[in-house]
Amino acid sequence: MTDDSPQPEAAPPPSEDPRLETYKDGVRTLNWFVTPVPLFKEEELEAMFEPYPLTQPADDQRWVLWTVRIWVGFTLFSIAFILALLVAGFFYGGR
Amino acid sequence: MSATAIDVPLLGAKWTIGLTALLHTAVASLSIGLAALVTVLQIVGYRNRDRRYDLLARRMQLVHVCIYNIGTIVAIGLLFSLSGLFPQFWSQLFVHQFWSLIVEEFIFFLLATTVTFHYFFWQKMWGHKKLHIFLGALLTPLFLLQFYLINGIGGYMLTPGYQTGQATVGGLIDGWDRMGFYNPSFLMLTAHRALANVAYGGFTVAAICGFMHYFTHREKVKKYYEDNARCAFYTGFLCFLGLPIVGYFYAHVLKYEANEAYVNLMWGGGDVVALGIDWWWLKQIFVAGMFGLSLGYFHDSDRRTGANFALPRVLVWSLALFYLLYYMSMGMIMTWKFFFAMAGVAAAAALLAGHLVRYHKGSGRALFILMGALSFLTVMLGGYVREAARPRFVNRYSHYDHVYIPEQRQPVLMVNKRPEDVFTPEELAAAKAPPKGALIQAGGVGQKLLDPVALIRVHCSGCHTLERVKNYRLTDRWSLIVSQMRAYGLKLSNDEARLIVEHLEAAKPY
Repeated sequence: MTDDSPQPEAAPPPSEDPRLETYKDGVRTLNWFVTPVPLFKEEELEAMFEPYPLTQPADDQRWVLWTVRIWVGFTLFSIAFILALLVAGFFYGGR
Repeated sequence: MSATAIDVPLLGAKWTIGLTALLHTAVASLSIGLAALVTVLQIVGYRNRDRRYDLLARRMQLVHVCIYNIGTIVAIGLLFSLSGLFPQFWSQLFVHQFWSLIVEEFIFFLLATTVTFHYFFWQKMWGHKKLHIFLGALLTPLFLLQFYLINGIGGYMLTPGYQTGQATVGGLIDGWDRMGFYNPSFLMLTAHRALANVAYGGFTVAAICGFMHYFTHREKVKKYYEDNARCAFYTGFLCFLGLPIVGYFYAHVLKYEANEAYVNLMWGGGDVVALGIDWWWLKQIFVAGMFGLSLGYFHDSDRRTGANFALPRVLVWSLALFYLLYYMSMGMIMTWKFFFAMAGVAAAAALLAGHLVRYHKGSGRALFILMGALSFLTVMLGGYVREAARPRFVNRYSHYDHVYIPEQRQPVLMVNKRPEDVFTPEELAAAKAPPKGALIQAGGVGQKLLDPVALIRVHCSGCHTLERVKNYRLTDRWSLIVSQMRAYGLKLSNDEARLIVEHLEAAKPY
């Protein structure tokens, strides 16, 4: 005997981020155009508590990583330069 | 006066600057605190592989991006207002610290870009979380450097600190004054602001979480707000602990390097007292209340098991004892009546903390909101009294001409007028005269006090309260008493001792 009554659609696991699409051929992808509003929707916020991390290193876009790496390098150099100015200014600036 | 000055209807020049500066303080201080808090939350999330902390960090960084913009725009408004309303003061200061301000501007650029990258790349580099956290962590040293520079100028405004003729416009490097920048109160101001901003950020984030907790029905989301609030509160409290100690040494510096400001703060002079309220001591009462609330909270939460970010009970009581002793030493400055009032407020706040946590079945949400509000008030009052305690400008003629030599300064300013062209001789004399009760010479250690009131306040209160002096009954023996104090180590010249004795024997007020 078969059950012809419609089966309820399987709900996504509660721990899954709503932006996380299904695994396609073993590759995890994100839909960047869906922005949940966790501030006012508790269900969505709760669904975002897991997992950690959201994606793997291979998923990150190269241009983002290189932008950040170059910027971090520039900022570190700038901090070192400003500190050097302050130290030099302490000994040599003014009377 | 032969020159006109721009005025602002209703508010007036002074309150225009004051209100703009207060608004800037409220926003910019929070911005600095949030940067540190976001990094703490991200690190906690990363170490525990718990995304809840990271989620809150991201939301707080969004708040940060917004208020950073507001703070910057208000700062620009402040500079515009200063340029128009106090042109002589501002152009003088800008020329004096030109290179500091240029570097400051460059750091603003670094900060704005870093916070933008950090927020908008959040979801794009989950696989490189450490790099992302490091990018966000760069904001804190950048902010420290940023207010390191502005504190050189802010500290100089309160404690120019050095003798006439030592300004270095026209020195080795124009636009950089080593002695003016590394002025006497610079270090204490920097330490105090660094701790205060992170404490303010921590308590504010905890208050936001506490507020959101009220509108939550799901247990997991409630725990999300509770745990994040505890993390933020814990971070804020650790920074808050150091504040009174740094503040004590800050006051010590002011006592010798900005005596009038010190007297105004401690004995309620200048604009520190407004609308009949001494805002400085009111702030101290708030601080005592915050301390009692925090210790009460940690004492209570330690009894419950499994609470993250808790202080061991033995540490809570040790801290309470330490601060009681600490404030007793502060009793040398405040009256004992006020000391007991503060202790009472702290004790009542500790009891209230226990009640609030029990009433909310273990949640600290009400307490977090209360602490956030008190933290905001103390930051506002601290900023206000620091500026209000300074000697006032006379006809907007800069106080710092005690330090600057106008003839040296004028050639490098765009204002093509000498003070003599703008003010009458009487006004110039009034502007340059030392304020009553203050030092007779501008400058640092080795200055001479000739006002007996200032002498009594400064020297007698170094070891005991003024109440003790006032309560002393053998009033015909002041000469003997002062001699005894000198024997105990009080450093007074014979002239100063004579002035004090004469004033006390005449039973004049002080």
